[in-house]
Amino acid sequence: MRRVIASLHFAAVSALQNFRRNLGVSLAAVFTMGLILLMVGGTALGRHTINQVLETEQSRASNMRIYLDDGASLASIADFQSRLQHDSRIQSATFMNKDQAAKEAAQQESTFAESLRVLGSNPLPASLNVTLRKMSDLQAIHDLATSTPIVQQGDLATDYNPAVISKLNNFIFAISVIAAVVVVVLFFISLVIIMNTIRTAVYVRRREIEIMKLVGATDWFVRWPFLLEGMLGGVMAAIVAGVLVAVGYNAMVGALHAKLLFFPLAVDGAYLSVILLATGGAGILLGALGSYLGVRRFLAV
Amino acid sequence: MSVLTLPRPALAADPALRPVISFHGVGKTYPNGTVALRDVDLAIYQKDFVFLVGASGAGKSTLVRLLIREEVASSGRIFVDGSEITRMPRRRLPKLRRKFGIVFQDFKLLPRSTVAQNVAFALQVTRPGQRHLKEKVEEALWIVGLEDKLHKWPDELSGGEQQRVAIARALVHRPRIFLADEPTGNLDPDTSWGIVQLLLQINHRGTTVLMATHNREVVDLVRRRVIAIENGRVVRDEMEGQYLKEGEATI
Repeated sequence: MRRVIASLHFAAVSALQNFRRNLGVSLAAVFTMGLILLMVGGTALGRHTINQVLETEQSRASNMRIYLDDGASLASIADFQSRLQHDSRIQSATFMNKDQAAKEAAQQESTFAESLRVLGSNPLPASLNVTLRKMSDLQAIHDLATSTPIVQQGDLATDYNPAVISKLNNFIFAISVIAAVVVVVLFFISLVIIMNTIRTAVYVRRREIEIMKLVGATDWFVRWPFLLEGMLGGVMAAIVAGVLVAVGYNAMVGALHAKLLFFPLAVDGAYLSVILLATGGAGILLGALGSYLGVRRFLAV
Repeated sequence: MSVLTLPRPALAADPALRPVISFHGVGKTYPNGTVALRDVDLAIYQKDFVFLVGASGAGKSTLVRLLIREEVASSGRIFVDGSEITRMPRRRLPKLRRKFGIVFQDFKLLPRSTVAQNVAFALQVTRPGQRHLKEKVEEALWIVGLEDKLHKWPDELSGGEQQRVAIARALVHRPRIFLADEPTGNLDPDTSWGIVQLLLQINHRGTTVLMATHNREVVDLVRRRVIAIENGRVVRDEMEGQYLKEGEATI
């Protein structure tokens, strides 16, 4: 026990001492790690926010309205509705009559009530509002609607707009790929940079390592001060990056919220704390791993 | 002139008769093809004082490096204190190295630690939590005659004094074997002589000393065992030897 405490004490003291003595190199390592953690954390939060926006958009997109002929009988509508409800691709199908459609339009557009009065009759069709389980089934359901007699003809059959949907799909895919590539590339760049930065810090102390090995210190005894030093730098980097990420995230959500009024977008506190914790963990891990790899070359005596 | 043919080092049952260091047909070829040692046989016993002589590049340093397993022999077997070390697993090397006290031509002191810290370092990294650390450090520095320079920095000392600090650091854990690789290489003749006197004193206290050197005056004055290496071979092993073979032309 006495030996363990003495070893830890030695490691902690020399880690702090070296951090201070090689302040320039140490800060370079902290700066590099901080920058990388900032980029990874920022990428994660940015992606999360885009996902929030896209999820809203996606849930809207998987809704479809099937517009019905004014002359369709209630019985045939109920029949069609029941067919849709039993379709495995469809989550729900609710009926909306002409009056409800007018009411909804009036809510969205205040001048509609006025237009309605001028027109004297309600031009809006009744509809079956369908929610699909998967966006990819929209085309099939649209085709099904077009071939049903009580549904309006041609382009008026549904509100399905394939161009918008496929654009949205492509956008989601592109964002996912870019985010994944960015994270992977950052990870490798960071490991190489950190390893080299820490190797420089270790190089400054190669004589000390050489002497330690010569007098018979164990590999782990030599390693510990460097690992602690690396972890210390990692924690400092994580704190700096964490603060910047949190501040930046709040600012970004605020700005997006101002631009995209119609999205229910808010700061996701739970996700932010997960990201901050992960940043801390990643900082410690990066520092320790970088030190471990950096010191390895000098231990091979 | 007595040229001794040493008995083939056998593993005698009596530890007092067993060599502290023995080489059995040891060869070392470096990856670039340089042959540093060929078929070296030798035995060094407890309390021996041995000069290892030879020109630069003859293989002296390689021999020292093999002993502390900084390098691994390409062939043959090496025993240190009864253990075969050429196939010793890495994790046992710290223990092997603690049997040695080692000094080098370039002292290898930590420039940003005081004399006392340099000596204490050896104990702190091998025996964390060592009791009476201060006393042990002071004792080692007393042996080398630097008890009044505890708090000096290495660059405030002369070369000879720095080498004494290195010797104190090598002694502080009471090693069985003292290895000195060209310890006087950077020192003037008077200072060198002082260092050799110190090594003889250490030997007198019972520690085996192996000193690799090409300091001819010292070897000729001391008249202790000399092992001469040339082109990686042991060419001479005499109990009271000189730097050059008798009758050999001086350069």
